[in-house]
Amino acid sequence: MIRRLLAVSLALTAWLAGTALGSVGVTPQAAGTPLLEIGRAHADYGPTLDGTQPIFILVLGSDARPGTPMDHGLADSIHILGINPAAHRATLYGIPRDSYVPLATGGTNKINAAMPPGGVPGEMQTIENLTGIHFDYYVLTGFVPFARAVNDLGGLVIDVPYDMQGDAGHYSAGPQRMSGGEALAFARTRHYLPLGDFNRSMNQGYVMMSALTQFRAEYAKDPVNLFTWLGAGLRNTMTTLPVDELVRLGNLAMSIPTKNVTNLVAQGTTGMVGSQSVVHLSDTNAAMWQKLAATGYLLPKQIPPAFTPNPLIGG
Amino acid sequence: MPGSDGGPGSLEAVLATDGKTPLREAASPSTGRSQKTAQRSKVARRRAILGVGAAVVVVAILFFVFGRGGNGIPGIGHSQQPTPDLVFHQTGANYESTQIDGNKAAQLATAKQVATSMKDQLDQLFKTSYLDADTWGDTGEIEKYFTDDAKGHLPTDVGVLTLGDNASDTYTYVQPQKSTVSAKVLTDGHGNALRGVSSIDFVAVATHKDGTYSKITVTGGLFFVKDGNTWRIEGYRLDRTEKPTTAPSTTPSPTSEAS
Repeated sequence: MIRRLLAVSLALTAWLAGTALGSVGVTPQAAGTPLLEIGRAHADYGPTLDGTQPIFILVLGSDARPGTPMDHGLADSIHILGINPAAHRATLYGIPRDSYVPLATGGTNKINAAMPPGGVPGEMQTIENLTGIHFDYYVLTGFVPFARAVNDLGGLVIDVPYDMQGDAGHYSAGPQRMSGGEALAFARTRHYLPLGDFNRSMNQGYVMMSALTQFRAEYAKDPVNLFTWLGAGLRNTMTTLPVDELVRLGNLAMSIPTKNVTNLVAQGTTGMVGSQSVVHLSDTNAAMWQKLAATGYLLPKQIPPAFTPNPLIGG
Repeated sequence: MPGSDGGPGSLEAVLATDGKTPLREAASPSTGRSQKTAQRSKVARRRAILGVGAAVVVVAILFFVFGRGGNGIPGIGHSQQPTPDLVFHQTGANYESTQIDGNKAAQLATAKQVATSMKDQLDQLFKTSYLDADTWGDTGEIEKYFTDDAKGHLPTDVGVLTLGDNASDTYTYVQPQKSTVSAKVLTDGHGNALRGVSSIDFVAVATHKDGTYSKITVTGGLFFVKDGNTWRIEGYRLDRTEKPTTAPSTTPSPTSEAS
């Protein structure tokens, strides 16, 4: 009995001594390479949107001049932004402002004409009736607010898709930083483009894609930039997007690379109604809108060339 | 079991007081001086061995229970130095307005107030997660600083939000160096705070068990949202780097003091 206890005691003593010696700090004067060098680690979390349920945001640009409320000008820029959080994909679907369609505010006219009498709800209802897509939110801006927002961001690096003569000068293809006024001029350029409003609508989509690229880079570089973008956006738009949702969208945008965003414009032909030039939308849009409504995005292979008008390829 | 019946040699008997020593109970008036001496010596040896054995077992149990996994007995496994306090140095507090024509004075006042609240949270968070050896790697101890959604991600990011999951296997002490924080608060035009973000530069020198040192930095942003009367962290984008360094200065930094 005694011997057994003695043996157990010795074993425990040896274990205890070994463990203690192995864990008690060594004299700190010794310098050298640490046992463990973590190097670099990253932690990243933010409230975001998830799930396969698509989100649709109507993005509008008003032509309201000073004295006219922004939400009662003509809706000269119209884009459907569809987002599928789970797929990390999005699509911008432009609709030419001259599209001749039934208006929710009454009668048939150019699609941009629904906003002056009906405000954003009238314009949104018109587009919902046309496309079958239900919008979760809208964002509306105007000439001056758009330019001011870009300036608030320190300019926008826009990836110009091809050499083009703009209404305010020549643009070389490639990324270039533009001030608010320059970005507005680029987004409004129409007269020198062979397909006029179709090309312009595509360019407006490129502006938004460039903004996504820049936002992702700046947010990744410094998280504080999320607030810079939120502030610039909220100060210069009218929107139904609450701050909570904008924060989630901002974090979601970090998981949607620009290459996962498709940009297209509704297909149609130009014509005349009375004395005004209009666009008659093609029936083929209906199938595209149906696909978009189902998933929130369209893959490049699902988009016929005619929906991505580009003067260089004769689209 | 031999000796467990309370007779001579049993644990109770061996550990008994002088008034009831086994020696006296076992002594016979007829035994000689040499027998008495031998018996006394034998019992004393047994008592000593069992006493040492029991003490070792008790210490071993205590060590096993408290000395593993980061909650060490003072002096064993961790430095005996007290946990230092951490006070981030506030380098700026500003606002980002969501309205063009807002009340600038009200928004700035809000920004300063919220910046202080966020800084106080960060002082405690980093003290708990990086400086206090008793709570290194314990995400449960820092949950209260985060929103319910963010709490679920703490285990994933334990290596950045805390010194590390098994930090006590590597480190013995962490001394904070000058650490800074600047804040930006998203406000409405009336000066109501909608969100806050703290941009931090946390610096500390860690002492390793092998006596070497490393400089730890944690930089990036932590996003806060108001939850009742408290600002809690709803998101973060942080980078941690660690590089070998020399022994830290014994002089406390301007932003850290021993508690």
